[in-house]
Amino acid sequence: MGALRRLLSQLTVLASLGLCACNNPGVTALHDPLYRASPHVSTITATGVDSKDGIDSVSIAVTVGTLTACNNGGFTPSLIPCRTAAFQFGRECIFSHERGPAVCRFPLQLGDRSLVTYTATARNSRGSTAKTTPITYAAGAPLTQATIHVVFFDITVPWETARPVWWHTDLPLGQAAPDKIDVGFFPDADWGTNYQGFTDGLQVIALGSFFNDTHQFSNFYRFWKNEFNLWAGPAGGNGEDSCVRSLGGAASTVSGAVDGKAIVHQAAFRDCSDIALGGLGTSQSTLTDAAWVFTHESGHFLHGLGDEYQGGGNGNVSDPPNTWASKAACQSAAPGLGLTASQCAQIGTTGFWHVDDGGVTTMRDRDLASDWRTASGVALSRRISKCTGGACY
Amino acid sequence: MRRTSSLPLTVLPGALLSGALLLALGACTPPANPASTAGPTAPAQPKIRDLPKTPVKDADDPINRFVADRTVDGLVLSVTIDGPSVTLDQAVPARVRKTQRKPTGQGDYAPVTAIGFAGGARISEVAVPDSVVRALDDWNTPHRGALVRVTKRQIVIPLAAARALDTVEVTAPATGAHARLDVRPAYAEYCRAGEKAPNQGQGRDNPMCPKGPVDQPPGDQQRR
Repeated sequence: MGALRRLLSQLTVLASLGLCACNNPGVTALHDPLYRASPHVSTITATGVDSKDGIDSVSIAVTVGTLTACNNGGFTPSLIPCRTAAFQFGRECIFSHERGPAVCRFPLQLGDRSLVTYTATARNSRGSTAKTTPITYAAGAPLTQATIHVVFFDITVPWETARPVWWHTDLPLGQAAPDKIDVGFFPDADWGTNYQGFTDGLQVIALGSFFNDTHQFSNFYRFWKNEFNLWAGPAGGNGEDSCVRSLGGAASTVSGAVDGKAIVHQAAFRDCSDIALGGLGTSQSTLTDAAWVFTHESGHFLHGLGDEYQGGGNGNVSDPPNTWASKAACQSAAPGLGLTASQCAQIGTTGFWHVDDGGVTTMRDRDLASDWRTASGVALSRRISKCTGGACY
Repeated sequence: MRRTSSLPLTVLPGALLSGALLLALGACTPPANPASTAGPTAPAQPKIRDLPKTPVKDADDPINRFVADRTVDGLVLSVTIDGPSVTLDQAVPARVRKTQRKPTGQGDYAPVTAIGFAGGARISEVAVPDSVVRALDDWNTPHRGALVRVTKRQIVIPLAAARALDTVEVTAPATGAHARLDVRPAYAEYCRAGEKAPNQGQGRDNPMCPKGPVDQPPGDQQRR
């Protein structure tokens, strides 16, 4: 109950902050497409809202340069990109006390190996401002080689970096950068050379899971999207039926930069995910509910959750467990999680038990109205608490 | 019949927290634009002012400072663990994440650990999740999933290493695997190039190019 009390007190503080925020403008921003590995026009859309005082200005500040791998005076190139030859510029959209959404769009023509950082600022008619956290993304053909400086000589080696799709690059003065859950998407071999097919699939999954879906299943990830970094990886993933998956070559090396790895495939085969606190899974982007499927699979490979349906993978390594090997274990754990012991129910005839409050839950029900319920909800909340506390894992 | 709405009062604390946050922020959701009550109106068209381009020095670029802050020299190993055996698939020197993860778990969920050595000295250690237990989900023909336990799996290990490593000791308790892997060839490409450079041998002053032969084949993948 101590934990519950702490959470409730946090809740009060946060709720009051939320209410206080009503006196200030709000601002959101997103780029589109999220990632494309060819030259294209990328549009950053920032929206300011202040229904009371009205918005007078929405501005988008960008820094665009060439993606490189850096070695910071050392020897080894980085798995996450650096930037060179950058320019800063921006756009300001001026409104007059706009009380509806004040939308500012900034299209950018991006060439190969582009790396873009943007922040959006909204100012209301009283002069109060709100600003988004800096987001960095890549565009255009990726880096394929890096130059290594070794004392008196330079050598060039084949090199690929992780390609940021939604990367938080805020570095508060004098502080360490906040920790995030890094999720990498890798193309399955079934895309062949159609890398754009993969990035289109990534867009479907990422937009639906983290940004613009309106169903219950995505509420949690949408609300906490700033606790995640999303990346695209090079070719080299290969998933097949019966839990056979691998990452080869540069994809394998680049995967060392992320916590969770999703091999995105288009053909139908059974998805398979590690039950791990950071692992590998597969996710089919061509399903009509691809974002839900990814969200479920991420429950396994990001949060260590087990399936809560008969015929699934019911084991877990989550904190707390969302399945138990006996009714007694479930009933013993439930009250400490703020859950009702009498709701412990067996998952079919599996011998595994979970807390079933009767609602549709993402680790069991393939339903867009599902949510992270009962113990899985506690596990997700604890993961986010760990991130905001400084170490996601 | 499953309920699809109305969280019970015995709601989980996490959901309560995020729900309340949503509620609090929801309270800030602006009401419909008063003008919109009279019917659809065109969105407000702003006056646009574009700001000029100014160059950013590489040293001042926040991205470069961010990456320098978040990464350290290291070695990324890809290994295949098959029961008790460990095989090195590839090892690539790379700057890796500075923040160490601390995976937990026991039995089949016990993390894989890797310890890097150079000249017998222990340089660094990391633990990464193992991949023994998996969930198989069938989204095309429902209810054909399973809990799968594998013994052969690929593990990627980003290991910090401020200097060249010669050996990495990998342990995977889930299947009783333990091996010492020779990783010297990982640095060979760079250091060989240094030896052939005009200032021959100068590359050996780099901590990533240790003294001694660098061309030895990875023949020392001992299993214990």
